[in-house]
Amino acid sequence: MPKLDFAIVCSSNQNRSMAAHKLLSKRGFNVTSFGSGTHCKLPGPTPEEPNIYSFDSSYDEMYNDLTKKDKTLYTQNGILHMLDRNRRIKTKPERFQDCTVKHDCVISCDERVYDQVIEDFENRGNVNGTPVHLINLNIMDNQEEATIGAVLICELCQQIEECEDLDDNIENIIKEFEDKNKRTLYYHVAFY
Amino acid sequence: MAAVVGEDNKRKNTAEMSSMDAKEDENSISDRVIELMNRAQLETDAKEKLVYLKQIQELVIMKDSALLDSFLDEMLAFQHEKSADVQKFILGFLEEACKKDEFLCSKVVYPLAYLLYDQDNVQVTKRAIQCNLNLYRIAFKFIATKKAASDDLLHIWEQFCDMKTYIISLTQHENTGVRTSALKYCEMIVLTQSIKGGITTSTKPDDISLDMLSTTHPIMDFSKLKDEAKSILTFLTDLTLSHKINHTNLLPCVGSLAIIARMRPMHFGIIIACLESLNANLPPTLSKSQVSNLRKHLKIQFMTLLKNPVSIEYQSVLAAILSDLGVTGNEVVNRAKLRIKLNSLYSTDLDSERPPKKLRIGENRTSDAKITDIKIESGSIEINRTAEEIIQKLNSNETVVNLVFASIHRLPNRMPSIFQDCHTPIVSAGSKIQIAHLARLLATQMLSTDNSNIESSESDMMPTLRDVKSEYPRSIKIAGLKEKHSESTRSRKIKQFSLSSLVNYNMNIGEKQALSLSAFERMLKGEENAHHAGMALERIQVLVGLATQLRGEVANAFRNYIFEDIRGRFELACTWLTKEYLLSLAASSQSTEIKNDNDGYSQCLAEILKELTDKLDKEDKLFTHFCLEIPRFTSVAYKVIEDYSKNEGSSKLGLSTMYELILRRPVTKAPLMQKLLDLTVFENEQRRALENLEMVLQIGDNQSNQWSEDSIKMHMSLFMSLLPKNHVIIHNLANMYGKATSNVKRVILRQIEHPIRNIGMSSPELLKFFEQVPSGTETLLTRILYIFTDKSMPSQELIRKVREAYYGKKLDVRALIPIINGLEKSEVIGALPKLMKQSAKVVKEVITRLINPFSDVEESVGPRQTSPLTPSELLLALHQIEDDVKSAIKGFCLSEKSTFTQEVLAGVLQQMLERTTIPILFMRTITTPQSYPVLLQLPAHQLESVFQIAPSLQHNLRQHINLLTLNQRAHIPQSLLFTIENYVVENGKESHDNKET
Repeated sequence: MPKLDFAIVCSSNQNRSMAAHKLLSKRGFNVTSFGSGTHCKLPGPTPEEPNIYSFDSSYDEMYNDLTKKDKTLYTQNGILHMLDRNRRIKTKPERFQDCTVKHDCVISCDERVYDQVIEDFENRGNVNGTPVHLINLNIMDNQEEATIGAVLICELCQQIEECEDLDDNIENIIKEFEDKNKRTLYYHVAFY
Repeated sequence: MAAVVGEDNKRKNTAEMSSMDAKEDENSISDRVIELMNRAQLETDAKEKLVYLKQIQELVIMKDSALLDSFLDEMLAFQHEKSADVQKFILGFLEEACKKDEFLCSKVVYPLAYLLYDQDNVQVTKRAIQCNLNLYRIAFKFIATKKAASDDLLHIWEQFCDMKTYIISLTQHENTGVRTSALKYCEMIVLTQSIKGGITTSTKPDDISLDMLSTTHPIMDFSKLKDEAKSILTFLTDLTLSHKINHTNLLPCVGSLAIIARMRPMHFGIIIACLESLNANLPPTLSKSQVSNLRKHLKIQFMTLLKNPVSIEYQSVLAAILSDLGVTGNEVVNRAKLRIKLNSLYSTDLDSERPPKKLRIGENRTSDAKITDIKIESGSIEINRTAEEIIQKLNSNETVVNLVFASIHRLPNRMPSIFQDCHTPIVSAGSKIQIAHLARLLATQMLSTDNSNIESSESDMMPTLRDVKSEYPRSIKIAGLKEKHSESTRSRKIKQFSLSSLVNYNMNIGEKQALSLSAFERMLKGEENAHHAGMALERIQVLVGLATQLRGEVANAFRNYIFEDIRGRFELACTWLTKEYLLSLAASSQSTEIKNDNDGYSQCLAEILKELTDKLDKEDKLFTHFCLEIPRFTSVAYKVIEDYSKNEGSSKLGLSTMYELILRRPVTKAPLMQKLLDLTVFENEQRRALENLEMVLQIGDNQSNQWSEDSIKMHMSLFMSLLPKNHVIIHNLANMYGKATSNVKRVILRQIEHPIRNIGMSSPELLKFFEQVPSGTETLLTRILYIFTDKSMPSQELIRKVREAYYGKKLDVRALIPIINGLEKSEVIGALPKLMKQSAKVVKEVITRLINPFSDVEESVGPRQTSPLTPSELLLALHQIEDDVKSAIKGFCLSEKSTFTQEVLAGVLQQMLERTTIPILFMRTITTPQSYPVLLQLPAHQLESVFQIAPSLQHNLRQHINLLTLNQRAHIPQSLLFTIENYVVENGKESHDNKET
């Protein structure tokens, strides 16, 4: 039984998806992470002034840029730490909509991201008919919640990876997860 | 460290390989494939085998597809491997190969079928279904583009069709994944076997559809495939609503339906209805989180559908569903805006049902699809009906309160977190739209409960709703919760008046109609009351409004009422007609279809016209008045007017109506003019034209100042040119002439010449006219006679007729003048006394004609006419007239010296003298100075007797002689001179004669 391919998607491929990415690869899953937004957004000095990067910018570049801008601020709010973690995992953020690789399971971290993922699958045109399981777990976009979320995602992926026939069991896996963690998931089967 | 070295080596190897690859020619690739193939065959470990196979695939498909053909069979041989992974790989390989080269369809179909059918591994089955999903489309396109049939192609197609049937049956498979794939396959079949239609939001370039298939394809049956797609779609919708489907399958099923709706607009309506129904009646087997999940998905799908240009028709439904799903109005509007943008990109052509090419004649439609279609439609009709009834119930506060009380004890003590999560406050609670939507939700639940025949033990929970549907939905779930929320706002509202909530008695249609009719009749009778109340105008408006809305019996009653006193209620009829016209205008502005003659307006108009023609006097001008009031003329109206003009008795009115309409209603000008012209040319042609003429002349009578000579001429020109073609109408002219004014008569007399000449005097109709001589036409007849005799001799027939008419006292003596030369001598002599009594002009005419037939026409042809009387006979005859004809004799006869020569005069005198009694007028002739020479030639004795009669002559003669020259005197005999000089009158008669002279 070959390993499943997991994709973890958040908005900017910085915090939530990367936290999960780190944990999942550490646990030996086949995992990639993505952002679904049009840009990578990082907090700025005020909520009105976020730092916006394109998906082409590498984590390293962002790290250096922010260090230059206000090292103290971005060290204090943990952004530099996060970018440092990220650049050790991969060179730059990836946009989910630009990804051509097929996954078995896509887990999103936000309802809006989930919507964007579904819309992307609809836009792709369902040519192939290969099913893909989409799951959404709402995680607040902060460091603590991202860490908790990563653990939850890892637990979920563990269940998914372990089951013999995912299609047949996904319903139960979701239900058990929801009951156990008092969380509500969104779930869908999309097709490549 | 070792790992790092290993990495380096690997990199080195790949670098070497790539450089080698670049150098490699085809043969070396082929050699490499053979080597890999051998290794793969010998390899026992499935994983390793797979590695080799993947390399081969890379080489033969990506690298050099020319090798594909040569190694295909070898690759296909691996299908018999036990390993599921290898089998799955082979399926993937088939797919890739066919994508590269569609000709391979024929080769891959058997291994594909093998891997699909003989399978106990669900993973392989799933992969086989997916493979089929792709290959079916490729094969469809491949075969559809082939014009000619071959056994090979037919065989491939049959294989794919068999697999299709098998895969559809797999939707009932025990494995969820297999079902999911099979459902996706169904979606593909519907997409492939439906027509694209005008607009799809599909951006896929490779969107294979029924459009690429000709209706006359030798292998694939267009209509059969289309019907199959329909029935599969129905299967999908039924499955979606069946409640037997689990959550995991329901999601892709909904997704598939949404995709079909987007890509094949022809199915949009069915799918919206299905999804709406699903939303209103979620499967009871779902857990709470699954419900919220499904609602989330429905929301996503509906939002996507709202973007679709086709959704414009279903906007209100979609908006209601979306607001139920918690989408704000703003979001809906934003989506709709997106759609409008799309709309401008795609031309809106929704006529997607039409096949692209002509349908095969005698096609065998599978009735299956049709029946299910009807089922869905009738279902939605029933829902609508039930919903309407529920709306009425919901408008009553009492019912709502009862509902809340009935369901409140079923609510949990604490609000469940799941409800908190998925609940969205209803923005428009208590509004009409929300109530309507709520009613629809309830109706859907009720009906589906009905359909699944679940007898609810809680059916007595809703006593107030029971008479709508006896079964109470066992799950009020979300709808019930909403009810509570909407209730709080609604109860504050003032109760709306609703007749049906007060009146419980259900009347049947017959009773309803009878009651409404009698109410209407009471209103008709209430004219006076309304008038007293100052509501006459309102009453008319109400009556007209009811008549136009209800039509049928009410309209009949109204029409009868109007025609009881059409004069008094004429305005009512006009108002009614105008109202109908306005309605028809409104209707035609909504629909683009051209005005037809079957709408309410046309019927109303036709019936009023019918009554008018039946009830009115044939010459009642009210008909014309009404016609002038007609807002829009229908073919029926034209027909009625035309019939009026054709029928005996009413034709005058019909024609004058046409005339009025042409003058006053420019719209009718062209058609009515055409009709009028038709009337003049075709049946009863002359008579019609004549009546038109007659009408014109009569109008000329009334408004003579408006009728100039020119306009009379203009109106007559048609008749005048018609006359020579059909002589019969001369009688009509004659009849009319008698009544015409002098002004008109004059014009006619002037105009008649040309047509009369064309008719000729031998025309039997003309002769008949002379026989009949209607009163007042004498001048006309005379004129005609003059025209005939002007240049030629009248025919015997004509003379005979005129003569008969004359003796029959029908004609004046003047009529004889033109034909006088054709008469017998005795007749002329007989008529002369009367003729001589006429005016000098006439007398001259008579004399001239008698003396000199055609004196003024030198080139006259035909037999030379001779006068019935010689000049001397004429003179004699004139003398025998007892009245005073002296001026005639003097003025006309004797001035014509060429005719009345001395010899003639002498002869006449001689004849007169020979008579026993000399006519009284004898001397009239001889006393003229011209007669002196004649007298001088008389013998002396005779001269004496002359003198005796007229003594004054003697003196005159004497003076005459004195004036003569000597030479002239020498010719006179002496005896005569003596007599003249010396004769003494003995008689005393001379005094009288003197006076005469």
